Amino acid sequence: MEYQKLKTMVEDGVKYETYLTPETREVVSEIALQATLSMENGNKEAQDIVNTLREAELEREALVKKEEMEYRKILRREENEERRAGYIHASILLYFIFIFGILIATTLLIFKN
Amino acid sequence: MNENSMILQDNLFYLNAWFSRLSNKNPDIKIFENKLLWNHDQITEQISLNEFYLPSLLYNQSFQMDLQRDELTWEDLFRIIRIHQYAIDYQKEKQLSQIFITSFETKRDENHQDIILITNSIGKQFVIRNQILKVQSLYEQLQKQNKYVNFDLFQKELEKI
Repeated sequence: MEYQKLKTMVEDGVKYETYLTPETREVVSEIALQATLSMENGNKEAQDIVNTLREAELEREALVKKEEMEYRKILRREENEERRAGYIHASILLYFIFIFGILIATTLLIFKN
Repeated sequence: MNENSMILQDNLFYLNAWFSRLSNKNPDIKIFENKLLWNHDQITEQISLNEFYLPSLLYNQSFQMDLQRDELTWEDLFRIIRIHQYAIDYQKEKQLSQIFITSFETKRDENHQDIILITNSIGKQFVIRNQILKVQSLYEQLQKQNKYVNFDLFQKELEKI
């Protein structure tokens, strides 16, 4: 197979790994392995394929980190919102207890008099 | 209707549906006859749509979900299909590279004409009736490079004669 096609396969294989069928994923791994072995024998095209593979992996890693950070941000925001909602609920509850307390106190005072 | 045209029909149906579902379009990607084309960087890439069954991609849950959620672009879709097509081409080439000539015999047919009878490692036989000497010398030449002559390589070299 042409070297350019192998390079494209490795590059896209990493980028779209989650969308591949098991057979295609196996082919991509095989190409990556063969390129690594050929690179050790001084094959320049294989070296280029391995470099492309590394670049694609780094890109994916960066993307995963970015997604992870975004996910953490969302989690933190949700936590904050939950906490805020908790405070509001507690304040409402306290407000009602306070009103109820005043009502009881007023009633007791009325009955005492 | 043969198998390829049935695959093509199904593929076109699914592909049109997928493309219409995705909002991030690319006018440089088109379906033309039985090919999927992408014009970019002054080249036109094409993928044959009658060689593998595209709906099989839907077995992948991530693909199916992201397609439904409109999280893929037309370009992503083209590249996903392209990598599957390349993988199939790669496997075909690999299979061909594993077929060798197991027997190469010079015989005479019923009309007393010289023929070459070639058998490959998957048991298929081929008869060559023309340019016997050239074919024989080609085989010997290839055998010098490698004891077991690759059938695909032999066929390619044969076309040059």
